[in-house]
Amino acid sequence: MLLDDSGNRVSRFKELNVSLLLTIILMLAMSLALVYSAGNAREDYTHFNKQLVFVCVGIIVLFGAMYIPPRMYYALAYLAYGLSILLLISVLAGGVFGLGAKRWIIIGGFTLQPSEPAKLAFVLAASRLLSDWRDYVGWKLIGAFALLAAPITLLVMIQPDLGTSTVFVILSVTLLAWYGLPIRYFLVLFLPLFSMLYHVSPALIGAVALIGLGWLKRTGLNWIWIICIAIVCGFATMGAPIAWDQLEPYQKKRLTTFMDPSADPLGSGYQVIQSQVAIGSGGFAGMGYLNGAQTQLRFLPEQHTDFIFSLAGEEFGFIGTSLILFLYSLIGWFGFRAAAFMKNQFMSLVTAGMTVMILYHSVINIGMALGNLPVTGLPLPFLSYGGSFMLSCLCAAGMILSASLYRREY
Amino acid sequence: MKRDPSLEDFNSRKRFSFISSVMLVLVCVAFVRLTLVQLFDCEGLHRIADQRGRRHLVIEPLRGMIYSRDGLPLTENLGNYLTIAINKYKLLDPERLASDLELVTGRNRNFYLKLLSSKAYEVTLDRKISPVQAEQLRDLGWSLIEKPDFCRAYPYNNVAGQIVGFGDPDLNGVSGIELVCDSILRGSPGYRVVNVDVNGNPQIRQNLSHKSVVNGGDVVLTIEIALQSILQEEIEMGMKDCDASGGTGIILDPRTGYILAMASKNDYDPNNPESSPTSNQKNGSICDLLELGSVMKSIPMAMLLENQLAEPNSLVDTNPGYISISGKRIHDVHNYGLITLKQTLSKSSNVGMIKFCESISDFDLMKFYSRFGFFEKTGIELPGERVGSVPDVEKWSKIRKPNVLIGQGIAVTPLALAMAYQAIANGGIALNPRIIYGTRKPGHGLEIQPIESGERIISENTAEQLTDFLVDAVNNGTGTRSQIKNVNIAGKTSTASKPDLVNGGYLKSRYLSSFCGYFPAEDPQILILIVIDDPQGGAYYGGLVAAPVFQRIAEKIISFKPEIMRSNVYNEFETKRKIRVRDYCALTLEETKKQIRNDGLKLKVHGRGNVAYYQLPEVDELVETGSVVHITMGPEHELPGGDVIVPRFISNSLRDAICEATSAGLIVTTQGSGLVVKQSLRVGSRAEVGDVCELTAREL
Repeated sequence: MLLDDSGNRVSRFKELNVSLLLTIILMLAMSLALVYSAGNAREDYTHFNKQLVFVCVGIIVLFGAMYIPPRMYYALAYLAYGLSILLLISVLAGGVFGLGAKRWIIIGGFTLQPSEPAKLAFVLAASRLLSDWRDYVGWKLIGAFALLAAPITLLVMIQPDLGTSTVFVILSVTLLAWYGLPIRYFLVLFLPLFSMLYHVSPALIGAVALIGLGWLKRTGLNWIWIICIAIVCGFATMGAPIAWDQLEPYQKKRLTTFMDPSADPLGSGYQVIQSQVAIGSGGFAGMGYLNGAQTQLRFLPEQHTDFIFSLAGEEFGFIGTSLILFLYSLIGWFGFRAAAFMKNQFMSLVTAGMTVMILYHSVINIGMALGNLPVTGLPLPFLSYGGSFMLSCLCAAGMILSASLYRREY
Repeated sequence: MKRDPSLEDFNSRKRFSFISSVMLVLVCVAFVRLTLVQLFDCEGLHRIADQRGRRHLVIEPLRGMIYSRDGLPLTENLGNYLTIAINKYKLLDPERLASDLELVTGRNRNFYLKLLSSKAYEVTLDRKISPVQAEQLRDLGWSLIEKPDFCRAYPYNNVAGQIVGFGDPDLNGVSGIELVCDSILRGSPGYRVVNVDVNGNPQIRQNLSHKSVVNGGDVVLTIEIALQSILQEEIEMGMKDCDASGGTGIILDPRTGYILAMASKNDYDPNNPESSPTSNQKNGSICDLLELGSVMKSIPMAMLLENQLAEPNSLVDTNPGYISISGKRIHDVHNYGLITLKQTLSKSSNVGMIKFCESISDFDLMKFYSRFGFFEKTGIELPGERVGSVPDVEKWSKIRKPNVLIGQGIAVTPLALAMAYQAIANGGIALNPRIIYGTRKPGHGLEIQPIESGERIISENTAEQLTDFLVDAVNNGTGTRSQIKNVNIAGKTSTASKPDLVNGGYLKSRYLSSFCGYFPAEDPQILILIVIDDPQGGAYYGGLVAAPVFQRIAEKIISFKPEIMRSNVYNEFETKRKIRVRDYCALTLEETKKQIRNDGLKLKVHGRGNVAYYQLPEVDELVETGSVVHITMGPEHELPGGDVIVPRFISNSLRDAICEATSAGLIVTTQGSGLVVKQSLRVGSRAEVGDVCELTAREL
């Protein structure tokens, strides 16, 4: 039985965030239209047909996830995490090779990309961990969190799928921050990582590192610690070229191309240039649905997955891209607002984590399409073609909706 | 558990506003970037997108065909050949590709490697790749871009090769008709602007600008391939018989100037021009300037007759068989003694010819030669024609005129000579030689080049006399070897000394034997010139070398085209079945009826009266047995006279109109056949019986 603040019986559906639900449904409709357009170029509509199935199944998953009460998520968090780890190991053991990495496994005729549900499982497990350590702040917590985050991140990284592994890093950071971890812990953790980029821009990175160390001193850390951190940063700086050598050639290429796409217009800069040309040629109102030259002539690569934003940009112009940005902002707004005003800390963390997951993907993907961020292969939530990702995004959306449905009960 | 106070500070509201501002910043950055790209860079990027997918596809026209007069194609466009190209961006192993191409095409691999090192995105590797070669490349695992490439082939090989000519690999005409009619055959390429996708495949979805291709037009030659092959075969045989080094022949229709065949040995195969020496590509009929010898005697002979300087029976004394001019002797073959003008030509007496022409001035002689067009181009539609040459009349030595009279010291092309004989054969009217019968634009009918009316250069009488002389030359003179049973042939032999081009003067025992003749002499339809160059052995006289070649060709033509002889055969056989209409005028109706019945004809009577005064067909017309004779009756003892109202004849058939007009008492003259389109007397006007009404009819 659900009672309102005055103790009257109310329907749980009064709490349903209908705007968020409609936003997502609208995006799904757009996704179908865009994937159809991408298929139209090849006159091959199998992607569209599959996406239609994914969307239908996804909506069921969304409503299912919406109705599952938060305590169930809490109870199943570690189980889900364990399953994900097993799936990721099985990918490494017998996965399908593609795009220079092993990312998929085939289960009963369906190809599954286990790193997608792993994101959800990680959010659940991390949120449970943090809410179990309720209000505690200290290195023990960070240690425990690291034990949870490291295996899943590394398993994805050695697939190798660098782009997806950054999702876990970002989720970790945001979940810890949402939990309330003070900023100095982040500085200690990330200054060495940050200083690895020293070779890219020595002056900028050096200055940021010095400011960071200064901040740490201000928060009351003693000099010994600060010097230790500085030494670690130094080692990281020196170790960066070695780490660089460990990267796969395609990853190196993506990172260098990000710096200067025109350096290799026929090679790895190709995608970025094509994407920018596509977005730019859309202009204000777009070239019209099914009329984009870049899209329909297939100059735009990966137009149904990674570069679907560019497709939208070309065919629907500034109006279309602005609408997409607006819709993601709405999702962010609803998601974070729900998370911020949630009484239950676990659900608050889950909601924030899921929102961050969705938004991080969109930021990276749109940044990539606009040529501002390296090509990482992260798809665009709710829009890109792809079963695993579509289902996990809708599941994440279901959890956000569930949190708002049940927000008064916990 | 240890509580951290900082946890409390970071309350939910604070967190929300922090994360919201981060989001806002990101959204703003994205908006700025989108604004820049989509609203400011938009035009430039749009242009890039527009042009990168846009290709200007040139659609090559199909080259027109060259047909023979009998409708056989002398050319062929092989369409299943390919140009191969490769998208360099997709090529991983150029070395292997070059080696494989070398294997298939036989061209050096370095050639391909050089091509592949170019900066172009799409590299054209080779052309004229046969379907088999393309299949081999596919079997080797290459998926190259294949575009159709047209290849010109000549199905008749060396037959008419010198006339048809050939083209370069880009199908530009290089020689012969391929060169002369290049603008007709070429057509104009069309284009289509298309969008190509990333793999270079054209996408014809939008209606972008395009221009339709205009295929090349066809050219129909006057050449008949059957006659051409007869000519080439027989010249070759004739050359073989006497070990000659070359031979030239022309067959033409003297009534139209159409060249029916034209050949020069040795020849070449336009499918493979490199395989024979370049000199074989030369069309000797128009490119060789030859001193043809006594075959040229017909020209001064024509002058003698035209200007009435001698009668056919005028006599000349050729004793002692030679004549001395400026210390040089010009001989006859034998001493002919006292001979007539006619015999001078038929026996080809040099002495007689020179003596007959003694009174003609050098200048007048050359002026007469010019009438035959020896010193200007004939205007035939073939490249490389040369013009006859003779030194300026002012600079002539005393020996020059006698030499020119016997056809030495004057060099003309075989075609020019053949055209001079054409004028004689055509009753004195010179035409221009034609090799193009007509052209056909794609989608249109054949446009036949009109035949000019020609120019009279000698009188009909002269032409007739000359033909008579030439018939005599064949029947009783030097040309007996060219005779064919039942066919009157007019012709002249010739045995010319070959000039020594190095030391001047003439070569010893090197001759040019020729024969020029036409038949049937009564109605010349075929004119043949045969020139055999440098026959070896004892038999070098034109009458022994060239005349038999003429004879064989003429025999084959007659058996191939019996209709040529119809007029002759007609005279011998057909007349027996035909009836010459007698004069029935002034007979009474009864008598007319009786006579007509006796003659095996039928009678139809028009008009009233007792006496026949107009008949159709007219007197002496040949009609078939049982034909109807229309007789118009008039009053006895009364000459045609009286008034008639002119009836309307227009749009009646000519035959009906004639009947109606004659029954009305008008005398009819007709022009053309078919339906009447014009009548000289106005409809409804008054005319006197016996007035002439001219009816013009046209086949509709």
